[in-house]
Amino acid sequence: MGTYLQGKPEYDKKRKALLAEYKVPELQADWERKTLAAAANPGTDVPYDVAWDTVVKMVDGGKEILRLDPSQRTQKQQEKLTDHFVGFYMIPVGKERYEELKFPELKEKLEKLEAEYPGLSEAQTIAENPGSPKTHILIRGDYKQPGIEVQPGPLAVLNPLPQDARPTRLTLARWLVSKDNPLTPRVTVNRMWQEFFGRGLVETSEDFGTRGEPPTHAKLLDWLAMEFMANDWNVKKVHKLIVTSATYRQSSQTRKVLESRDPYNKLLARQSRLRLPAELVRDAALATSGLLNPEIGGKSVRPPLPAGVAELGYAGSVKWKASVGPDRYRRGLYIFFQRTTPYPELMTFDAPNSLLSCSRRERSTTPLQALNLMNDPVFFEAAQVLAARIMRETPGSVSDRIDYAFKLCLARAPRPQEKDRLLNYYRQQKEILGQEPESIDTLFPANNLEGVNAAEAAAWVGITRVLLNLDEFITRG
Amino acid sequence: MNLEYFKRIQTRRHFFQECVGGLGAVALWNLLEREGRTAASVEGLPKVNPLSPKPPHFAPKAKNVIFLYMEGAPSHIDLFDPKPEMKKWDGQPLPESMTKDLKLAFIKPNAKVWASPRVFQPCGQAGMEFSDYTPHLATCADDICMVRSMFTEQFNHHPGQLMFNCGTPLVGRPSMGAWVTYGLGSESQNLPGFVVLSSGTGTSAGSGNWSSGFLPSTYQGVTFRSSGDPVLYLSNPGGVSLKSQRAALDTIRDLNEQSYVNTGDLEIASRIASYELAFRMQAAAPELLDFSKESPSTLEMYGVEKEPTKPFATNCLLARRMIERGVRFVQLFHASWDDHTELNAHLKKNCEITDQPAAALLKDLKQRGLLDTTLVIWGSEFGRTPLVESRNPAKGSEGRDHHPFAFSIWMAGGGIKGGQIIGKTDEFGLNILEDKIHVHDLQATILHCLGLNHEKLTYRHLGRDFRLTDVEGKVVQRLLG
Repeated sequence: MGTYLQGKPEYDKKRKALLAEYKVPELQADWERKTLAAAANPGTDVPYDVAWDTVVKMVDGGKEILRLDPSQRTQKQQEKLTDHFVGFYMIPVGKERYEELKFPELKEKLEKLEAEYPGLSEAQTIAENPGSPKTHILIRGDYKQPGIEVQPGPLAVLNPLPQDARPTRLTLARWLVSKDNPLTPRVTVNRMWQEFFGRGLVETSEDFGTRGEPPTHAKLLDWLAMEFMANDWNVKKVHKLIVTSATYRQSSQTRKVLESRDPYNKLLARQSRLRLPAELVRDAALATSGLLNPEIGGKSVRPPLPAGVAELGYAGSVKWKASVGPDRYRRGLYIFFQRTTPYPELMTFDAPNSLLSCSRRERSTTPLQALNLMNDPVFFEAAQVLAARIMRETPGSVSDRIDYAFKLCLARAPRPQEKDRLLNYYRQQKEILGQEPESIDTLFPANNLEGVNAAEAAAWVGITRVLLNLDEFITRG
Repeated sequence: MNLEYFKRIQTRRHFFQECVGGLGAVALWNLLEREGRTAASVEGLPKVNPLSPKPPHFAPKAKNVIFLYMEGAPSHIDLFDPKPEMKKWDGQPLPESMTKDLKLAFIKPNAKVWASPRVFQPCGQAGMEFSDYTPHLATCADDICMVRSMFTEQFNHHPGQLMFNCGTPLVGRPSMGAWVTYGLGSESQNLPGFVVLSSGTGTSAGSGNWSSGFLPSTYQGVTFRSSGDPVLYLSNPGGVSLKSQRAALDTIRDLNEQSYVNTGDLEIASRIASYELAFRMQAAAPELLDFSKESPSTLEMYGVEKEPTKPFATNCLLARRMIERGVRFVQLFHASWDDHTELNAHLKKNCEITDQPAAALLKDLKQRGLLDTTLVIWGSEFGRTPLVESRNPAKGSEGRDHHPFAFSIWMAGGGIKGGQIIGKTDEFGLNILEDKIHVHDLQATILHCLGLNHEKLTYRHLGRDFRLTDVEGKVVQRLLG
């Protein structure tokens, strides 16, 4: 027996006791009677008209459940209806009565009780609908204007379904990956190529149709598609094939002659420099400083938001309870996506708004990105922690430390000019901090590093902040 | 990199650093600008700004837009479209012939007519009626073009707002402000091209209302916030002074320039330019928010220093100041007018908040000669039913339901013929009798005022050319001056 079933009898008992304590069975029976009466005679009891409307709109299968005799309902149906009743009894009886009955308190207790017991884990599954609904062409896309009835089938220009096959989802799945259908592997390898080169062999990775761009290297695309299928659709093998290729391993430096002949680098005579995607910009800063929590999977996290961001959601409905501890430093892809008020850094660096499907992202360069990298507490904290890391891990001279910082941030040694410029900046920072000694503690608040001079550490925060803001830091070279 | 060049900028840099202590950021910037020490200093490195002004399709009447978006659907029959005949029907259901096909969001078509308790006065040369809740707007009648015949298909807020702002009820499309800045760029050198200001409770479509959709994020609306940093992350972190920030930026720029020399990637020019623009914004935004140079009479006219007008008045005055500084599109959101209950009290409250500042904005723009080139729009996703919604039997709790079939908006300024009333609804304000104007028509007209042909302002995405007005929309000639 699983944990859910083990805990269930006790949970049921406690829930029943709670509901009885707040007189839910009597009140709910009365509410059901009145709601059903309102449904039968609309317009006679307006508050219960609204109650009926809410059940219909908010409870999955609510209309049917409410019409069933309580003895005929499954336990799950009954619980669903009771939860709705407890949550929305205010609608017909008003706030005052709802509070007098202490329903807000009951609601809280029920939620707490539920959280105390292990939940039922549900697995989604698909079953074929025996009575498939009829499908019509919708005139101008309007669901209220159905045109002629249509049957399922692939586009005429593509390979047909096998003869005598019933047009089910399983048939579609088999058709998609059939050896006779080159489109699926082409589209798939093209999207992989796009991630490695910034542009697919077919640039319009979302559209291989007549309105899309023709491929720049049609034979290569075909060959990769065939390799993908021949290797049993193994994604990693294609990745390996691409990253070990001579094309991928080229330098991204441009040459004058290429600029005029192939300004957009479609022919791939060099690699492309690509700004990192939004999530990775944040990950890179956290990883370099050592703050990143690399944990895989689990629930989404909510890193702290600046005040006033969540408030732009509807009528204060967005509750952004900031994650604490290591969850604050999870990878960007785990950040909870609040549709009406998305995490600002994601939007600023061109993450899609998660409302439409998106096969390729824009890469824009805006002043808001600069402000974000310079001043967002996430990035500033990364600069502070990175400075501490460098001080701790390299006891040597400023010059040695610059070498190490460059290696951590850009995976290479600084060129002499770059080093000179940073040394120059370091001296300048020290001078400024000499004039503004009050800034030292704010820049480097947790100075518990042995033998480290606070002013020096604070100057280093300046250097790491510069490094984390370099174009090269947020660019794949 | 050329050594001579490097030496030259080093000395000049030194000079600036000596100066910084005694100068404000704006002055510093001007100095840097005059010296030509901007992003275009390395040979071959282009000076780029994705928001630099672009020519319109034809000569425009308006250069800028201030859009007062009244979230939640204000009641047209209680504000701008008086229906005295309704008194006869008060408390009775509508004739059945009118309700046969009527589908409403929450109430039933047999709900009773509720005549507006408001008192209306004809104003201005056109005898434009305003209710007693908007005495200030009433004094602007000769500048206002009142449109009483708007309609939409969307009868819920979220899709309705997206329809109004993005031209489709579907999520994920660019908003009007994003389209306009994509089409025209911005005159401002140090502020975003599309700014969003918010007061009240927040909108149901949230940032979808000012999203850049599939356009580059350069064109998204930037929210100016009422507390904390006016623009997110505008202030330097604690301990970073202006001098220290400038030194950091100089270092970032020099290292980025070397990166350009080493790679030849022109994108680096955009990166360098974006940091300079960010620095200018750090200086310009506080100046924008500083009302100390506004005259006491201006502040009083808007109602900046008193409640309940303060939040909306501040935003209206900010909007004018932004337009003066070249911001292309300013959109104010005030929420919410969604009065399903207690309509009378709520409407009064919202009018007390917004009426005086909105009227002051029109007058102020006019006296400064800015109204001719600034298009001002006041509107929302739909209107409200002439039928009562009573969720609660108590007197004064009456409300009205969503009404997409006919509603009012008004416009003024650049390209618009003021002092006229367009459109006519039936005796209940239920259906339109004359001059039906769809939301897409309004959008086409707004773009037209800015010199943009709505059929030509397109962006290819997912294999087709998208536009604000989807596949519809006709410019409404009668609105134009």
